[in-house]
Amino acid sequence: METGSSVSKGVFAYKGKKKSVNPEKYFPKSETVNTWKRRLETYQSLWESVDTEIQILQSDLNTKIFDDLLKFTKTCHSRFTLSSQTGDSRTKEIPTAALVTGVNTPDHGVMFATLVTLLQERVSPLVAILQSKDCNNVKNTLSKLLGQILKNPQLFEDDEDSPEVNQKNLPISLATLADWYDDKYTLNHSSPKKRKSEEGDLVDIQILPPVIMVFEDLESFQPRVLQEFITICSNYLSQLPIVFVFGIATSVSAVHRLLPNAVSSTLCMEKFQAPPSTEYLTLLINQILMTKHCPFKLGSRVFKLLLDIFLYHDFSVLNFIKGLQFSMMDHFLSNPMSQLCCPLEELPNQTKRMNSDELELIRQLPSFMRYVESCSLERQAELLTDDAETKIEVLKLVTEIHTYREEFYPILRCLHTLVSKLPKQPLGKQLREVYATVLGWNMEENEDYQISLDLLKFMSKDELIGLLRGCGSCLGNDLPSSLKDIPVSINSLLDRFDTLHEQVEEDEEETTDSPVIQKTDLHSLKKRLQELEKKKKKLSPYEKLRTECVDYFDSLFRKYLVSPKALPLHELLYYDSASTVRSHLTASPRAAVQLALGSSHTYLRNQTESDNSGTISPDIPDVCIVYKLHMECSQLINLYDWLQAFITVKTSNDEENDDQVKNPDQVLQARFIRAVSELQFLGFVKPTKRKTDHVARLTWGGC
Amino acid sequence: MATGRPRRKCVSVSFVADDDVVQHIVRVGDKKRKGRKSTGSTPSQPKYCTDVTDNGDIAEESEEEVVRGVPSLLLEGEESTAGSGMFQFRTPKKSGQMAAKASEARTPKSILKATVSQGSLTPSSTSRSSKLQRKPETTTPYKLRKRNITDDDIDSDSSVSSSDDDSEDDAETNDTPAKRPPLNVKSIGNTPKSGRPRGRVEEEMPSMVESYFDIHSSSAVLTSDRTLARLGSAKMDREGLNRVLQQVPTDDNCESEKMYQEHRENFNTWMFQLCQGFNMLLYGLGSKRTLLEDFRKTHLLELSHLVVNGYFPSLTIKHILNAITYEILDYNGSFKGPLDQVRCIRTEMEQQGLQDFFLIVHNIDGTMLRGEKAQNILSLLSQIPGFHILASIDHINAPLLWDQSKCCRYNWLWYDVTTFMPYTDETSYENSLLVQQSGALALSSMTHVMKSLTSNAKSIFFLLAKHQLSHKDNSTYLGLSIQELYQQCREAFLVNSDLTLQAQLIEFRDHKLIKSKKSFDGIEHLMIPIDSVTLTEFIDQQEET
Repeated sequence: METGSSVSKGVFAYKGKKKSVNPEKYFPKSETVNTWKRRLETYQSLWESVDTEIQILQSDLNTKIFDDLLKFTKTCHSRFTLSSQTGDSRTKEIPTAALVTGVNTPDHGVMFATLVTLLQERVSPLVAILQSKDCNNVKNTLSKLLGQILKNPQLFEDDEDSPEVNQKNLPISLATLADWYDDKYTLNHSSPKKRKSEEGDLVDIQILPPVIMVFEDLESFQPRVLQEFITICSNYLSQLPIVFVFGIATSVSAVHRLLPNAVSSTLCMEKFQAPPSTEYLTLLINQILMTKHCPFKLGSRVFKLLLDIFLYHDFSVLNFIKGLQFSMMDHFLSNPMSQLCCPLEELPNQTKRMNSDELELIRQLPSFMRYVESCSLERQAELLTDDAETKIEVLKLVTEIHTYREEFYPILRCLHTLVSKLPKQPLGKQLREVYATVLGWNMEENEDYQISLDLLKFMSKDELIGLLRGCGSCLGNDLPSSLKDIPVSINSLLDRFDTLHEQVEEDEEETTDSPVIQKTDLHSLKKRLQELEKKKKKLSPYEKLRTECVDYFDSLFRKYLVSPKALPLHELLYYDSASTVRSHLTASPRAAVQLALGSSHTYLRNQTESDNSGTISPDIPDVCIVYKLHMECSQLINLYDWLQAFITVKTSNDEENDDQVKNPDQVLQARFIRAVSELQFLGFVKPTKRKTDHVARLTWGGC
Repeated sequence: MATGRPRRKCVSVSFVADDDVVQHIVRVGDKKRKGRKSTGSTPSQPKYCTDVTDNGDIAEESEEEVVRGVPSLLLEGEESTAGSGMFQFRTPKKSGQMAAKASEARTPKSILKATVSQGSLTPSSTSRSSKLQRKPETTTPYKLRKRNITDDDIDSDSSVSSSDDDSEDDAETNDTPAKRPPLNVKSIGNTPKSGRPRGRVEEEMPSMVESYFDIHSSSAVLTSDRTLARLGSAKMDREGLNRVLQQVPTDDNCESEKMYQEHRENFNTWMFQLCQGFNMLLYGLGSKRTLLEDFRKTHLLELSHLVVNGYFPSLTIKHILNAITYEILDYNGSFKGPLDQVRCIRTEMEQQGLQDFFLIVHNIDGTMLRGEKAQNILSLLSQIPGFHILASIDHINAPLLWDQSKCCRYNWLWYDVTTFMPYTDETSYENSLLVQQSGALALSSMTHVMKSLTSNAKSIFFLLAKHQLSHKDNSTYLGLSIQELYQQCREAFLVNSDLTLQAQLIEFRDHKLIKSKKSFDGIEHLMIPIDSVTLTEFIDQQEET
């Protein structure tokens, strides 16, 4: 049973009786309140709905490009027949779809998988997907290809075993494939169709399925293999309707870089551009995070963190989704009252089931305390003592958050339309950036917001009208009732702008009394100029209207775009523990190890910080002492000196118990050996042959 | 002569005040740094998919983000060791620095106490220090000891000496007052420079680079020439080491015990998160074996699972796959390759209704699992629905094992489980310089082989061994050439032909007792791949019997 230090085996298998785990059993249960079951249920249903939404989004996203691609693959060989006589000159070129996917490999796996299934469903069962890692020479490539096409289970529902037998005996070449194809499709489709084609009735011909080969990562293929493979394929074009799909990460020119002219001339390429992953992310954020449907929301810090991971680390939407899932899971695991983070319909039910312990937890929430303090005295007493009243209040407050969100998102879009085209984009260009700011901001103190407003006040009329129109259209039709009058007021503003030129003339009589230049001293000139400046402040009607308009929007934003942090009970619906997410998703193991070695007191709390004096305390673990000593060395470390230094440190406090062991040196030596081999195991040092009894340092960090 | 007549071409001289001059002076460092900044900041930004050129809007947008983009501080952790602390370069070290650092540990107070109790120091250490006293080029610890001993004689005036130190300290390192306890200046008095306070603020960028090359260009090694042979005691062997270490009291275990309990409390959460499709990756200082075993015993006993010791020196990915297919799934068939086997595991798990399977890998960064192939297979396994992985890493560069797609497949959740436990099992396979290497094992295997050999064969081996021992000081010793061996064997009537010699040698080769190497002129040389100490011992042993 012990798996420790076996000298003969490194793998130990244990067969269990149970075949599956029940995750419910492991949901951490807190002692005080018994809400875990409700939380678990809420989490499961919520994540399920979000997950399906993401799936739908994923398939929708690529629909258009896939439709084009499918159409291309379907039509490119429409004239193909198996009779060799009719082969015209056109078929000398292999139709090729170049699918430009952009960088980011992990997400592409999903994309190609859906593409292949779509191709198999709608175009042809003969699809092979080739990855560079399987195709290091032509033979492997061919065997992979034949394996996928001949073994395709969809083809042989009736006779299962025949292809298996065939494949083993047949030589691996395209000729085999061509024969097989010929056999299969001339046998299955009898001659009448051929005759029809000779009659020229193209519409009725049953199109023979093309053989589609998908190269998932074209750039990673070896050029030589690819060249030979394509040349071989082009020779069989009269017998096989071959179509290529190239997955290209960089640009179409990569094909020309990989293939010489002679080879690339056999291809007839058409380019398909897959949407970049930023677009996908924007879609995801807009449709899943920024809607009122999902009660769970990311707080500003977590949202920014996930965005940063996406933009600066990996560019992977899959990882973003993982982060979202983790945040949601952690929210329901760590927050004992998170069962209230449920859809609005279930809210009354959930509040009804709360008991007094749970209400006590609610009362302890900082945001709720703040809210209570702002109430009148009697009300305060009620809220803190009367359970029924608190329940009603909680229900009211959470419902308020839901309505707040309903109004929040349309207005947010409005703000985004206004500020996204400003010079330098103080609030950000993308909707997600604006959202991230608004989630955490304190509007009065936000400088960027003030700058944006000031910039708006400098807009020309045409620009401003354009922006207003944009606002009107982004508000859309399904506005909540409280916002119904906003489009109306925007329209009236627009009308006033339109009629502005009629009243412009009246103010024109402003005389340009050019100041008479007199001989004067510097001081009075300055005064005079300042006065002139003040006089000029008189606003034109357009400017007045513009200020009015900006002020109107300002008031709108102030009313609706309150940071969720200011709302009572926001803890229940917003998850904002960025440090947890960071430590579990983008951990830095090396930092943790070095921190533990360099300043062990951060982990072992009973030790006092000894760093002020810069000395090494003998009480810290052996490996830490050895580590700190090794920080003082350059490339090579003399083991003997190291050991002596270690003993010096270790014995610096030992004077009391001198009768401890008979041979302290042996013990210390052993401990030193252990510590050094641990450092070696961690990768800080390694044995070297450059000098006897030396080890080499592998890091260059200071402590 | 022409002074009165100003000419067109005469040079005009004007007075330039000092202040004006100063304005034209640009500090070289500033300029460099500016240049560095302007060029250095942009490439380090992540590149966006700007190659989608014909979709101008996208390209423009992403460029915009590059320019704007400075990740918020959220990405950086609170840990003080992040970034600069971990990767900054240091100036080359002087040889005495480590000893100086060590002696700092002896705070004045402890030294005072030590001097009081010095008289009753254990005999071994006193004897060693007296032995050291004979050597002229002494180490700092020795200095310390010597000082302590001399203090022993005059322990009454310790206060005087410490004040003395203070003044000396001030005189020597004026710019760094009170950084270190006063005593160590005296203790390292012969190497004043080495006592510089460490981390002399942060080095500037350009000189940092230079200091890296400084360190690496100098082939001269700054360390002292002392070797371990100086230690009075002989090297310990593995068993002795373990025996001694078992006696060592595990100190500060109450705090690490508390930490361990905290990690244990997370077990349920781990299990839940595993069920949600995440995989666990544990990192942090200290062995995580015990914790993982604990987890296994409390939560996984009823479930099918596999434990892999990633640090096991002869582990291969095939072992893992075979254990899953043959021992867990009871599948009997053959596979074309590991990828095929992974596919088979997936289908078999579905067919057998095995919904959850747990793979525990102690040290997924172990030497044998570091290969790209092994990691690829493991990451593919982790993608099978219901296949859960719990793994631990210890090497500081372990995250470099995975590229983005592998990371994505693994779907790790990282957990910092610093335990401070000794890596007993993990390091047991490691070769340490300090431990007597493989002596016992090699010796016993040699004696066993010897027992089964004919007397002639034994003699041949002795010939070889003795020849090797006589050349043990020659570092370029290649081995005994086969012709010479034949000659010697003939002379001793051990073999009568080349063929019989070869037949005897085959026996040795099969047991890996000899190693043959071709020298540059193509002649085969034979050598026994065992260190001379063990070989001597072996010969002594054999001659006794």
